[in-house]
Amino acid sequence: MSVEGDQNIPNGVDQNIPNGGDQSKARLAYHDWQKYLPSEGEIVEGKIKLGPNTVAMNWKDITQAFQYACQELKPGQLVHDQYFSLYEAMSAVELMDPKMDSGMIFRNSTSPILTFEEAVEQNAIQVDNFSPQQLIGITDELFACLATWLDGQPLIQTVYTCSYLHKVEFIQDNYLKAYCVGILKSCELIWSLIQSGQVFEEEDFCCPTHGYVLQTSITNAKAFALLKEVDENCARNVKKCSRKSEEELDEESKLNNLLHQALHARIKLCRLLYSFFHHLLGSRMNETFLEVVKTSNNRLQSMDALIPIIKDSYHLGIHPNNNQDENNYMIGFNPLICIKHLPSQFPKMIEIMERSKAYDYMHTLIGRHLRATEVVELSTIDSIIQFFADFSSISPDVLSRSALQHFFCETFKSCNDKKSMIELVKKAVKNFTQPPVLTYPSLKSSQRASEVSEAFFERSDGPISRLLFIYCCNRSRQREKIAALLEELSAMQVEASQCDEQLNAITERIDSQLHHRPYLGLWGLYHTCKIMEYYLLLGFELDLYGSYEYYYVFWYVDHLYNHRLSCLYTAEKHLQAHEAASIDIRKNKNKKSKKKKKVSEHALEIQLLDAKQSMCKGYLRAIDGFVKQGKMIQQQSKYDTSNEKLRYEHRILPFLNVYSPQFITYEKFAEVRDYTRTALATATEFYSTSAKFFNRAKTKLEEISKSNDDVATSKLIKITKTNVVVMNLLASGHKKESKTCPNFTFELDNYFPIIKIQ
Amino acid sequence: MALLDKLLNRLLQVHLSDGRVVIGNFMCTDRELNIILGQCQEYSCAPDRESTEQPRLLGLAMIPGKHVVKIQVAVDVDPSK
Repeated sequence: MSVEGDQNIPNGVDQNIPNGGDQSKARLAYHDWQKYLPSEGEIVEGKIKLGPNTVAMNWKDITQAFQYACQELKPGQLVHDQYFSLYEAMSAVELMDPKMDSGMIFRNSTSPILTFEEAVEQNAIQVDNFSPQQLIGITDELFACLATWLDGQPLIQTVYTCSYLHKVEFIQDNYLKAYCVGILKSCELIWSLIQSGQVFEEEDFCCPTHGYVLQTSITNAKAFALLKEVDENCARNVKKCSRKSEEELDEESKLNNLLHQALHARIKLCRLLYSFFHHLLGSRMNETFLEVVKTSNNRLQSMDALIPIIKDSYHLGIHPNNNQDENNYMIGFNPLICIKHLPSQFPKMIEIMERSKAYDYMHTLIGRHLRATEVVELSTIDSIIQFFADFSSISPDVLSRSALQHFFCETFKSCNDKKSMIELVKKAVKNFTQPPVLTYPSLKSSQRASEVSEAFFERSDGPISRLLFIYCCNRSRQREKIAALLEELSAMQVEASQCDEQLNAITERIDSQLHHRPYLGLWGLYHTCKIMEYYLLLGFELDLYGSYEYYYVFWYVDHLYNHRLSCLYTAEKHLQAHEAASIDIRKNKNKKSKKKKKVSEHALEIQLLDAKQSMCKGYLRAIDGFVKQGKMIQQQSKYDTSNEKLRYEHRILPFLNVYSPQFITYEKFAEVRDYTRTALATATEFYSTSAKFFNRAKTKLEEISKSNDDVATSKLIKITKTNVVVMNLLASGHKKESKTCPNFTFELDNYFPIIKIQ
Repeated sequence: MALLDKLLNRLLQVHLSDGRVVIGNFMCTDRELNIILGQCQEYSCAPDRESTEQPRLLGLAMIPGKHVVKIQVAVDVDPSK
């Protein structure tokens, strides 16, 4: 018991009891348990709030009796209900501990925390007659709070720290009112966009699930009207100032000019932001989604252009005072205003982003949104998958990812047009292998054949949509989701092979000359290989592997490249056969040029894969050499003897149930590895073989870059060049005796490291 | 001991040493007077009939024994008297 317990701390409660008599004489109503209560102990009145209701309560003081009862317990003995155990007790928040009890921050401030309404009543906060500098400062700070929220911090501790947002109707100044309404409404829309995408995780984004969402009675129409009015006002102000020529102006007028322009730019941005989200998420009366995207694109472009202008003027706004007293918050912002709505655990001090950084952050965000809009123009599912993969590789923020999901779903998966996904898949498969069922009129008209193939295409919708969804998730969470996806893809592959068999039977009946090869299965296999490879290589980016594990990772990736290359070779054969057949059929029509383009697409990918495969082999031989020279030691743990097998199987576990390509057991892997290691005798041979592989890769890449020069290829060329040099060095006997293992650094590319000698 | 058993799951109002008051269902206690309350609400001072303070909802909370000042239990008073 604390010292204060010995003093008589008054309850500050009304001591009137209905019977008007002495409190201790108030009789307890008859309840079985109440007879165990001590007879002394005053009863006072109080109340508690249960949800919206208030319940009157009577409290009996039992401090002494409780204390004595506790003293009779043995040390470590707990009194608890049979359903309550130590396990539950562990999750309790410990009060009076500054690390866990956020209520203690509340106690430290000397002045009471007023709500916005109370502050306005007491004239403690300014709601009108703002100077331009004040307005610029407040709007910039609010924007920075928005950026901090989008970066993953809780809404309550960022955007809602602005008192003005709590009751927008009370703000007298039109400009500030418009800006605050715009931001408030945009936050609602942003939250619904993110929620609909469902691609966020705990670490990405803090959802306002504590039930505390600021509402306003201002309707959307009114909000837009207000924003428009203020926007036009500002435009008029800017025009008025700019009428005088430069030389006639004195310092003060020049400053005025800048201030007006700054204010105008900010309100324009707010208006664009709100209309962008409102239009994107609202119901579309008479326009198609593509038209919405076009308008949205225009808005994004305007916002993109505005932000650098705004950023230039952010120094004009006022900043919080740098005085030493505790109330040096920015005017209108109070981090503690929402403290009661914080979850009880882990009080964190959230730092709002610095204003210029916030503008940079939003600029990048808008750039990503612009990029995301490009997805609506793609026409085959393969190109869409590639687009999503590329988009994911820049590690975009959660809002951009949700926006991409939204663009995609609205364009291709809207309820009225379920067929469009199927069309995308069909087009992709057609481009890939030209299966006769999609191209030959005799087969196309066969009802049975189209039934079978339609069934497959419909079936593929699920896994493909799931794959696209995974690409929109946080990079670190993708692997666990891919593991689940591989099972779905396996099922799709099984279905594909069944369809292929049925189509084969049907084809032979119709036209004995045609053979249906496993066209559908091929496409399925191609994508499965791609995803498995991505799964393994993503581990490098996420820094999951120890360097002693690189061997089997690259080994398995090499194996997957084999499968993918054979898919592509077969696909190309099919395409060429189709081209030949179609030239036969349409002898005089010149369709060559169209077909040639498709063929060369596969050719480019084949070359790239070939190069990457050579690089993998290069790494494998390099590591063989390191092991031979004792530079890289196999991890030996005293706790598990089957160490490497365990690790191998753990890394490759999701591939266990994949239909095709089949899982390679550890024993098979070890067999092949040991065979290779005994085939070449010395480390020098390993190093020179490795150098040869890297050289081969480099030549292939240089060939590719002649026709298709992009950043990724040139990076790979640099990597291969460096590795060739390093391997040749090691082959010549450099640092033969050294036992330090060379480093694998992923500075240029996330998946293919440069080998550096220490 | 009988008292503590009978008090389990009852509504308790506990005053903390910094003046705050927490109200919750009595879940557990030990010899050191550490008390665990369920569905706990925190008020900055004891709510009387006129106060309008909105409590903070804490869920499951533990109050270290050394910070307990006063413990009260919710009782039904016989209105007929």
